[in-house]
Amino acid sequence: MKAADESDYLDFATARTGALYRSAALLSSGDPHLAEDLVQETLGRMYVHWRRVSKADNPAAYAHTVLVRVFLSHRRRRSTTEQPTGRLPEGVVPEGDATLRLTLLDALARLGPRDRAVLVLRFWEDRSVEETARVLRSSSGAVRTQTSRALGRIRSILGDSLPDLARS
Amino acid sequence: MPFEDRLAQSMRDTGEDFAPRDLVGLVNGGVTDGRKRRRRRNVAVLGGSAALALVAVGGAMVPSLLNTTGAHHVAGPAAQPKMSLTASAKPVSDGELAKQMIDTLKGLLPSGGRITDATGRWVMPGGRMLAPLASLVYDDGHGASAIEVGLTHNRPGGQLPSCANPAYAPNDVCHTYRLPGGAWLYLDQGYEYPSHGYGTKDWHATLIKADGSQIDVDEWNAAAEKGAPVTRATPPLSADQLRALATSTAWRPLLAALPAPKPIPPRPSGLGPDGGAILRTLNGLLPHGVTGHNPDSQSGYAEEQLRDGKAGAGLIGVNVQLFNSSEDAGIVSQLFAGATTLPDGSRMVVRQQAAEKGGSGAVQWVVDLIRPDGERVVAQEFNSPRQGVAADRSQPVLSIDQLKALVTDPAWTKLV
Repeated sequence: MKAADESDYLDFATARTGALYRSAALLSSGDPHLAEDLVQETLGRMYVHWRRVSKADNPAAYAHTVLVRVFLSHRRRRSTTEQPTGRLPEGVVPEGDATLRLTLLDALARLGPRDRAVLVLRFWEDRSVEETARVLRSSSGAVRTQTSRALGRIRSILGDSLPDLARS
Repeated sequence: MPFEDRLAQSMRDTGEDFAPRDLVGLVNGGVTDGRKRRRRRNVAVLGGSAALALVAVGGAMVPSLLNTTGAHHVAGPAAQPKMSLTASAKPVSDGELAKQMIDTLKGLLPSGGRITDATGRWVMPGGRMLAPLASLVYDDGHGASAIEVGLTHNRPGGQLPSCANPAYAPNDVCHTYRLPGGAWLYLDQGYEYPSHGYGTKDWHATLIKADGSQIDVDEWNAAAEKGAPVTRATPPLSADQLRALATSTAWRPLLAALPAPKPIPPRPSGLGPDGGAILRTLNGLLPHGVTGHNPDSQSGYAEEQLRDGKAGAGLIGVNVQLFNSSEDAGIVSQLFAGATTLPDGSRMVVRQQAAEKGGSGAVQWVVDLIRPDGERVVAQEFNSPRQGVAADRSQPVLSIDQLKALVTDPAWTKLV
């Protein structure tokens, strides 16, 4: 990569890594190792195609698309060992809220990866149904169905703990 | 408040509190990952459209190689990992280090050449991101060539660069050497686009010292990495000159000024059964008269070329994974939608299609099986010796029935 391109890339990566990590943390339901791996692989993939990607309309949004795809493929590769538990390392979350957040992470951990991905895209990244469908290489109809199923599942897992969480 | 809104709110509350433990390390890791990918992306890769896992060929991992030695060449700032984010404590300014980067490179090139576009860098603008780089265009009278040197410091225990199997990167001349003092040198004389075997050449040396500090040198036979015409047959520095440049003691003070990254605690890992075991099982199941060549493997995956003595070579790759029946129910039902259920309860999907990575006349046959205990065995077979190249024979070496017999063989159950 040319020095100038690399400089642009590093600016971009430095600026976006925090946001990518936050999405990765939710996708991995709080597993910091997996979240780091996902971000690193995403950054690596962005690096490879940087010259093309940097000219795209919205490289940041594209990076999050790559992240979700990396997550879905990663999840398949690592399914032998990854047992999401929703555990949170010390010091990552302010203490008072830790229990409540663990509840959400635990609920996410108990969803399948695609359910988790669709919820993160729709409700954390605030993507439209159409955008979500593009990220997941799926149709709008399938995304609507998957969203309502995933919502039903997480609702049944969370029971009535979410109102408490939202008030925190 | 509707449930969706409450969920969105709690996801925001939860997500906003996450922060990477080592942002600089993560970005540098991304760059390293990207550089490796760039060098190797055209090396044969299995996997793809149908959610088939895995992946790159060639990379033998040597996880603990770098922390087996007690030798540490780095002194001073290396003991202060916090310095990766700040320049304030450095005895030498970033500007001075940037100048030393380019001066050092200039000083190591054969004299008499014309040097233009020389740039040295230590940190990125803003002063927060450490990214030592020297880049210039060098012309010894036979054509202008871009040359770049980058310095990094890996975490001990990181992955070493390794040469791709020559069967999959046929245009590269690549060697790795163990040097006195525990350093590793990787020398690759290949192409900017490895699969082409023509166009801009990218000759590269990586030196990784025992303490994890790393020097990368690249030279091209063009004035820029991409998008510039080839100016000469090969890059200007021979393999020996590249080696001398990368291993020169002149880089020592600059490497010593690089802060060591914070180690991360090891974690239990495993991408699947050992690749060697997959390969042995695969070889044990090959029909009489079929032989395997150029094997390559990594955790959860093995591949090799097959020959039957009659026609050309075909490629076979096998993934073995373990899926959790409840946890992975969603993905499993997606992967095995429309599968045939076998008498033992296993589900099997068979596909025969044109090779997804192309190649004239190349076909790709896939048998994907999941057993009731969650073990997934996927075999892919091609009638070409690598992916993305023309067919070497009319059909893959194993017939589709032989491929099914191979995948459904109980020998695989011993791996998980």
